[in-house]
Amino acid sequence: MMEYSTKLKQLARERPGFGELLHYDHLLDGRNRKCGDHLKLYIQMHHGKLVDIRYQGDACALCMASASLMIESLRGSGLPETLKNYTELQSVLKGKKTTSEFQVFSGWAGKTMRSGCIDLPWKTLFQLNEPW
Amino acid sequence: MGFDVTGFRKNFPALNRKVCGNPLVYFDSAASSLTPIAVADKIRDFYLNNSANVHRGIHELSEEGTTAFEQSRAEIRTFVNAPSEQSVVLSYGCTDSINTIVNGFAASKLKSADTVLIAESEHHANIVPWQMLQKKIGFEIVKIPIDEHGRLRHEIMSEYAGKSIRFVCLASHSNATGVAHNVQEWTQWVHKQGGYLVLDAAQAVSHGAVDFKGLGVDFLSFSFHKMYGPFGVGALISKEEHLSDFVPVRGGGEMIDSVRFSGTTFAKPPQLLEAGTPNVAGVIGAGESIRFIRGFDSKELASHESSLAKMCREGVQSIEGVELLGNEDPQNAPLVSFAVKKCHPHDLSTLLNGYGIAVRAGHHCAQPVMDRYGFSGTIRASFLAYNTHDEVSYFVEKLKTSIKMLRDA
Ligand SMILES: Cc1ncc(COP(=O)(O)O)c(C=O)c1O
Repeated sequence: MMEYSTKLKQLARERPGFGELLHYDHLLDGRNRKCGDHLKLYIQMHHGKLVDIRYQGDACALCMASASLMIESLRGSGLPETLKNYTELQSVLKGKKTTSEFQVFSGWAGKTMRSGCIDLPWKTLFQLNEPW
Repeated sequence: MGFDVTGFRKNFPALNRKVCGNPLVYFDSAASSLTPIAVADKIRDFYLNNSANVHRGIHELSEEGTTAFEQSRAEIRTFVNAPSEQSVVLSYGCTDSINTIVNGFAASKLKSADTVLIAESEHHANIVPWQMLQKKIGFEIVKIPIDEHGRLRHEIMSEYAGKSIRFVCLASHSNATGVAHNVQEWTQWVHKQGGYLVLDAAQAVSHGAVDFKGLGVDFLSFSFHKMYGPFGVGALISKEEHLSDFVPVRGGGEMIDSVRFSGTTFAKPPQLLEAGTPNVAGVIGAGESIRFIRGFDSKELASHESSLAKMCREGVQSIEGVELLGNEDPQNAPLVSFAVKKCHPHDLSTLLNGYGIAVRAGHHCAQPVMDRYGFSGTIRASFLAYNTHDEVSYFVEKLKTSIKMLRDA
């Protein structure tokens, strides 16, 4: 069932990773064309490694929570781990049980519109066309 | 005796459904209405007992189908008071009709120095095709701004009078705010400028009579899925004197007079604009949706619908942090569109769905309207005659609960 769990509500309230980076190397814009929601990702890199990342935007609780979880999962990770995490998220959205943080989205498995909200931060991130 | 909503609801089996364990409350009719049994039966009957292609066939099934198909055209003509059956072009929906007007008619009338005025409140369907044509021809597109209550501002009339205004593009009612526009006033004005009025009546047809001849507009478009009819069928109504100026926008069967490799001659409208096999079952179902509506007193239906909208507006207005779009004019389309501080429309819509309530959340294909009021989207509750006042009370109550849940998060 589509459900706003305590964890999800907490994420929506605390919004880890929300904010602007004054010094960034990449500013990526993501838009959900179905609803008009949009996100900005500020990314700071150093020697090909992702040093810091923040997001801002006007989007629903699911999209914001997903951006927060994505950012948490990115800290200290390279591209291969990020792709692995993304696959985990996709599995959750296909209804599979996992032990990952992304399990908070399990209630939205199979819901096309809301899966799009959860996907938006990742789609935005993958516009970055260099590995890290 | 007043309108018998209980009896009316019996036509819609979907209303017996449960959603998340609760009875369905369907407040999304401005997107698509529910389908009555009579319309679904008509379509089913055609597929099961006929299913032959129309026109050109000599055999009985084709004859029968053609008669029913053309009868729908006749029904449409009477329903919107079109001048003739020739002036009724069957399309795949309102968007398709507007694209045909733009590419089949406007393209040959517009020059680079001309101006097209489009209401700021338009659905994307009445903006984007014009922008696409603009890329090819280079005319100017100017928006007719809306005020804080969703009404069109008139200043532009004096500002642009005497300039080369070729088209005014307007919806009779905005699907994002519900606001009804004064179509006749704009029609008279654009005619004085020597231009044409393109009316999008998508939000009008299910709520009362649309009088093409009475309004005096040049073109009118609408879809049947918003008026108890099937998906994939719409109509374009044109003034008779404009028909001969149309050029075909899609080529193929049905729309020709004769085809040789040395050259093709074309049929006259409406066939000229109806290339390929049409949605036969859909068109026959569309005729049935008109018969269905005509089985009721349209004034009674409309007054029931606007009383639901009024009650909903009052209920929603009383909630702290709610910002309503539009205004309270009873002529408006029966819908209530609003944003709630600190609550994203998607989240609210998801919570409401948990109570069995279907509303629309987002920009409603009218992003300029959202930009105008500074929202990324709104919640839109829209009504048709099958809705009840009890449903509205339930909605307002569950809306309050959902807002509280999101705010307390
Ligand atoms: C005012 C208005 N115009 C045009 C359309 C487009 O209709 P369709 O998608 O059926 O072509 C809609 C549908 O939402 C509408 O509300």
